[in-house]
Amino acid sequence: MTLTTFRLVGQGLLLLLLWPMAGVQAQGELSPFFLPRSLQGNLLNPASSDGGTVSIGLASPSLLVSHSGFAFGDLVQPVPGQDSSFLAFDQLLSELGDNNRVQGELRADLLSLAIGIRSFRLLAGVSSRARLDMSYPKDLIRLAWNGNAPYLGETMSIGPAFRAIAWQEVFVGGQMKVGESVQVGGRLKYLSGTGYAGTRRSQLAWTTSPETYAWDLDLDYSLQTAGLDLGELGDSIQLSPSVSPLFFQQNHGVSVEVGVLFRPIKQLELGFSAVDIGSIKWTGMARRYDAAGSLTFDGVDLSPLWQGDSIDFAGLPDSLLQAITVTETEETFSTALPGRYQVSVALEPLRWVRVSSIVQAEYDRGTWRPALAVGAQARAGKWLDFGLSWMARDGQWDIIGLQTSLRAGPVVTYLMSDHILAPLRARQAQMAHVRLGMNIQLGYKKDK
Amino acid sequence: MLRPWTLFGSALALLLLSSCAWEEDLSRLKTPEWQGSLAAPVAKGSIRLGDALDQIGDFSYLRVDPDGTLVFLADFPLASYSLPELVSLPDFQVAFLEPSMGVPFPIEGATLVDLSAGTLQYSIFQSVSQDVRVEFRIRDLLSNGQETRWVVLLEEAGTFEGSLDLAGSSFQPRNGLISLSYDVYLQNTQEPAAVDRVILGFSDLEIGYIEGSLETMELSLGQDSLPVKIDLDMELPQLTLLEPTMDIIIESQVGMPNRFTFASFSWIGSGGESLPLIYAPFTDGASLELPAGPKAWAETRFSLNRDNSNIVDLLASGIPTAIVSEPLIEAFPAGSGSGFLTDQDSIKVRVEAEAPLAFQLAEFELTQSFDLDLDIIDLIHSGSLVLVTENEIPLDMSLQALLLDEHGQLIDSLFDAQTPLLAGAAVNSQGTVTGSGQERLELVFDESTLQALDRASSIQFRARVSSSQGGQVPVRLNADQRLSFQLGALVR
Repeated sequence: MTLTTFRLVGQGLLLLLLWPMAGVQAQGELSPFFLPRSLQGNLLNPASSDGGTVSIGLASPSLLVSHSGFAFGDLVQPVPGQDSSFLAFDQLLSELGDNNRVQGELRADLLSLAIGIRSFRLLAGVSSRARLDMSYPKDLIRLAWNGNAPYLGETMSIGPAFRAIAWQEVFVGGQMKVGESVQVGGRLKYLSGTGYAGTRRSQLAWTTSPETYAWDLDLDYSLQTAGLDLGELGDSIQLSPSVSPLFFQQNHGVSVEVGVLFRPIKQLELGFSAVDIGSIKWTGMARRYDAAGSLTFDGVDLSPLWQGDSIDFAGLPDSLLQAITVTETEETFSTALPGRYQVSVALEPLRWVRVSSIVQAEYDRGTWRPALAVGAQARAGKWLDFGLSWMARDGQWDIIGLQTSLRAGPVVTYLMSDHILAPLRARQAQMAHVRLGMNIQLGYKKDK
Repeated sequence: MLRPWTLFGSALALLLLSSCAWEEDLSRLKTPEWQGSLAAPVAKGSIRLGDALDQIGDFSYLRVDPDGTLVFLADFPLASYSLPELVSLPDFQVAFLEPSMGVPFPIEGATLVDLSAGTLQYSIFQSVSQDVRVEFRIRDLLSNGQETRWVVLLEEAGTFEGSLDLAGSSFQPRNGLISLSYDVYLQNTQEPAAVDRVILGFSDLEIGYIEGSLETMELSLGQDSLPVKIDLDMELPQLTLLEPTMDIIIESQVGMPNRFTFASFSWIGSGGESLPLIYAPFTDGASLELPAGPKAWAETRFSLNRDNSNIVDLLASGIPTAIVSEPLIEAFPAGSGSGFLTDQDSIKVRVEAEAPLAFQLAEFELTQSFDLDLDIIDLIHSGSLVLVTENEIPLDMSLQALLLDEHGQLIDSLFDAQTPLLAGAAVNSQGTVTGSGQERLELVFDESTLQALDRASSIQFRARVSSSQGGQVPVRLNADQRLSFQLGALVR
């Protein structure tokens, strides 16, 4: 390893360490990166190999949930000197960001397969995935807790946004070495959308006039759904949702995943990968619901009283909502998957120790969201891999991950978590993740 | 050298040390007490002045012209006189000096007087007893077209009296005289005889119709006082109407040339003060129109305005409680002439007052009290009400609200001083509205105010109303002018 190489690596690590200061946000799981000797190690980089000649990944569920806004302990706090607790909304408000995200990602890799054929390795698999993203503005909580009176004259953006998507994946791919120091890999995935519901626009602004306390509401919402029938949207909205059962028959999509690993020296591995680069075209029961308009409520109109008429309080909501136009359109649409790009570096100063770091940037609907993880893994003989990681995401700096796999012959069981402390420090946790499963690994090359 | 087992053990130790188990007993979570404050619009409205007046009451004395101009109207009878009150036929007596004579008719120049009532009494005296027959004849007193004749039979000495009903009879004087005579005969021989004294007396004569070439006469109608009742529950002493007019209409059936005057015409104010109407024709005298014939009416209208009378000053004193008038009619003011009167004839005096609501009003105060029983106060820590108005009506209004205890003693007030509530619309020099007035009133209910409201038994609102610019500028009201408002509330 040359001095220049070390300098480049050092500068890269420094950049990686500083990146969280820009404010990392929720991402996909990163732990598989820190367990490269498992088949799941290539989830983040298709070029990564577990070293087996034939590897079969059995059902591998993964669940990740995160909330950027606050932890449970920020909300529920003990009353000093008393055996009780209270909802600390005031403190919570000071800790909320302007916009706060809730993310949930469920992934079940039903079957994964990697077969080495000389220098080429065939990859294939089936997965079922679902993801929920929600965001809510701080103004919504401020309004709920403080009321609108403290914010006279302010325009408060209170419209939450969400997206829920579920799809199936069937993929094939391959890995191969290019020269002595480069390994490339890729996957081509066929996607079948199961269901989708998400807001394209989520503008809801509320302004209270400081002069008259009149309310101005500016609404611009657009909701897309597929594989889901919300029922009739008429003058009186009555939702009766039903889900389309047609898996693999509609809502087709494709995604690609590519990766490259570069070993300038034996102890150092640099990697780049892009995963989930693709989209789904939603055609089954695809609809768009738009609601837009501005309304002003400046009090109950008493003018009819002067005419000898009565006031129709019951009809007031309908008369106000006349300003809101609600339309339903049968419309196919496409949604891009949240694409993830990884840059990684791994150093193996000793045969049984690996120190690595990965930076992930997720691009989703025009927004980049970075995350950083640094980890150390150790091998204890043939049968145990163990690693700990530190992660920065969602403004939290104390995320400790754990990755472990236990090998018994060809059977490899593994358990990994991006935030192993979440169950133990639930009051402070803003995310939780777990993945577990079992692989069958034949022809393992321990020096991989 | 760091061994794998060391690393693995360290990690497990870290996890165990971190395993401060999460024991969160949510049953001990205090129910959150919402501390928020809410600002909400409560009500709004826009009312047209014309509609507001309709709702407030029956303003029959207001007229809305097609251009929306509001005009104050008053139309009421002032006095009504029937003929017996105008002219009368006095009682008169004729003592016969000789059996036939002519006597002057009491109304000079009259050529025909129909009597609707009256009595003729006769008195005959003879000093000796004899059977005589007395035949009376009044040639110029006709009944059913025939001269009046009657016979009286006497036997004993003494005075004999009798009477005739003259209702339906007519005097038809000739040259101002009526001719009366009597003849006396012995009953058995029909020879002429005599009695000692004969007297005829005419009394209780009521004229049903009179005509002739009458001389000047004054018809004294007497003083009359008419209470004025206009359904305004308020006194407006600070009101100055700019363009008032008042028509006094006299409807007459008097068929005689005349000169009409008011001996007095006074405006009785609310304080009992008497203000005389100054109007030259009523002082100098004016002629009434003559009816086309008996039973017809002739209307004579006198139009009073600010230029020819002092009605502005009268109206400035407020709505009168009464009008006292004493009209005089002088018939044949230029001397004798032809004319007529009937007992059905009347003279009616009527007043029509009219004034566009163009006025100045300064610091007119309205006071209204309401009982207070505000249970909701316990739910409010503090708050405020805002009232935003846009006023096209050229009237300012300020408000003070006094909180009173059960003895009517002042506890507190909602405002430090009289506070603007409505800003009058801007007007030009003619008083026409040129723009609306905006005002925002914020009523803050702090803790002390809420406590005072809780203690108060009643609240007394004192509103002061002025025309724009403090009543210094004349303004015109129009039924189409509107008052719009928005009411909002902030509660904590």
